[in-house]
Amino acid sequence: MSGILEYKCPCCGGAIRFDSATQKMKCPYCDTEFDVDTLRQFDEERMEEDSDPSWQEDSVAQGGDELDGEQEGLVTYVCESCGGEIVAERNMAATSCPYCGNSVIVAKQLSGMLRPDLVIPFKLDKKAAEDRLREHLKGKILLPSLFKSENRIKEVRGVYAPFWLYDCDAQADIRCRATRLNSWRQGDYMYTETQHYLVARSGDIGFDKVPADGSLKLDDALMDSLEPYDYTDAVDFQTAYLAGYFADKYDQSAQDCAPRANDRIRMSTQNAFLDTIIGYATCVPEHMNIQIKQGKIRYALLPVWLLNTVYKGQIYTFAMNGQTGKFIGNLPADKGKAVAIAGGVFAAATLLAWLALGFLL
Amino acid sequence: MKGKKRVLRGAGLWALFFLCAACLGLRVSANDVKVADEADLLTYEEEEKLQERLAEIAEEYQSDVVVATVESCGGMDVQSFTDQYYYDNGYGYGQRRDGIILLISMRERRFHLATRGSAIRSFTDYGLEVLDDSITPYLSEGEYYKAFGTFADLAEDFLEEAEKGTPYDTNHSYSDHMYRSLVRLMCSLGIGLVAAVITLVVLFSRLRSVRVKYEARDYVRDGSFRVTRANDVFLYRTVSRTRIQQESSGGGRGGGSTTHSAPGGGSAGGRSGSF
Repeated sequence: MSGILEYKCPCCGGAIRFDSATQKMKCPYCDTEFDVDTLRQFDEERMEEDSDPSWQEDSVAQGGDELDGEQEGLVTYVCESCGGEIVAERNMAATSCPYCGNSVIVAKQLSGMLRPDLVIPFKLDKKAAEDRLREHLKGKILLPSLFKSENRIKEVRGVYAPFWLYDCDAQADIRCRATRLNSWRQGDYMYTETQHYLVARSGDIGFDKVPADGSLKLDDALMDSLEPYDYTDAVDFQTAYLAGYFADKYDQSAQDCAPRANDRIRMSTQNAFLDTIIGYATCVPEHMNIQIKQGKIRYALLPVWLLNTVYKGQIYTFAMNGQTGKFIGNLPADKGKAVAIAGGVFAAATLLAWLALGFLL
Repeated sequence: MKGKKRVLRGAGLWALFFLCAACLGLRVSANDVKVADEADLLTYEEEEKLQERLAEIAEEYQSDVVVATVESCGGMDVQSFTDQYYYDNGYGYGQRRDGIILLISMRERRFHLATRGSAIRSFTDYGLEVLDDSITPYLSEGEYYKAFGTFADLAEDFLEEAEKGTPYDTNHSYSDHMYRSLVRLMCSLGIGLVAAVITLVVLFSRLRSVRVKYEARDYVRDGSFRVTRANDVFLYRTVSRTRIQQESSGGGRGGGSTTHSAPGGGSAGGRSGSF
């Protein structure tokens, strides 16, 4: 039976996880380290052993029973280690068993059409995420004073977020009305000459791996704000990377997400060409034609630390780029503080201006 | 003979007084009563307040600022009476008796503004006219306290400007100053407001780090940006002209102050009016 995968230590049999510090699989029990590749080969060997017809049936029977009725959209799995029943959302691809804590990976959510092309493994661990949260709260003058002390971390999860990466070629053809100004003085008059131009630019530009997250659960703005990821660290997908983390399969298709990527590409293309129009006082676009030729689309899992905290009964969500450590999350403002600061600055600036103007006049 | 003796003794006392003051590096007025309300036009509280204010101004600018009310001038004309009154009561700072007095006489319903010493320069003919224009309406309505309050405010403004070396005069009008003050106030408030708004925007934006991305600059493929056609076509030109505003040539000399000889020697400036 294997609707779900578990990575066991070949040494001691304990459940092993991906270790972001060493970029290797590490057994938390016996400290043995393995290359992800080694483990994959080891697993492949094991899979071959396992693949008999009865396994197929088992996986149909046990690998993801859909619950009916009000709990629609939920699926149950059986933990291979402890036999506990794991209830998960339909899109869940990796999680941990709520009873024994073993990492659980649902193979069928990550194979065939659903198999990611790329994965950027986690580089930073949970502790780094918690440290960065503290740093994130520093130097924020308007943050309520109690937020730092009373803001409790409720949950920290390392999530592999499903992303679509779009390669695109864009062709632009733009036309603008532009003016140059020239002024001089003659006698009692100031003359202003305006030269009108028609400026045209054509050309092309390419984009690689423009990301758009393919998960409805993850806020688009939150995911956008975590960019950029460094794709040079991206590797071919191996399920082993997911061991110890959470993952969902995409629930927005590449077509659903394409408009978001295309809008960004269109905007950048337009800006790139408008930036080549220099030496004019004004420039008003008159005609703009941008054709986007969709290239390769890749499915990637990118590392995200999600932190949920509670302050005064309200949940605040923070996210950290699991590769670069870029930390984001909106914070509440202390309105009283804002009013006091604004008042103080207003008074001080008015006074200073009053004195400075007294000197000038 | 007796009268002369008294004058001599008085002069001797004065000389002694000024000598002492000079030694101490102080210039003080011999008379601390800045509000002499003989005609009893003010309430006690009003008198107290005005006294305090005038004493403050006098102290700061080393120039007496006095308000006096009398029942009558006793047949003298109000200018001579005021000059004499000022002298007799020992008002004025320093040897030249610097100061200004506003005296109103109820029987004649006349008032006089007299200036002595440095105050003659501080309150030019133009300046006295401004004071006259500001005070007379209040006096006519019997709003004596308001009239004296206005007198105090204006006197302070005038003394302050004179201290800068540019007393208000025909070439440096008080209304210009008011206008400029208003502009200055508005600009200051405007700058204060802008500074406060900028501060808030900056501080609030530091709390917000979640933003939708609208462009994809980070993902441009290296070397893929190619401009295949760049065409800048000149179409036509337009020319407009505006008349340059000629700055009116300001400056020049002001009207200055006219003076007459005053009791006790020296000269005094002044202006009289009815209410």
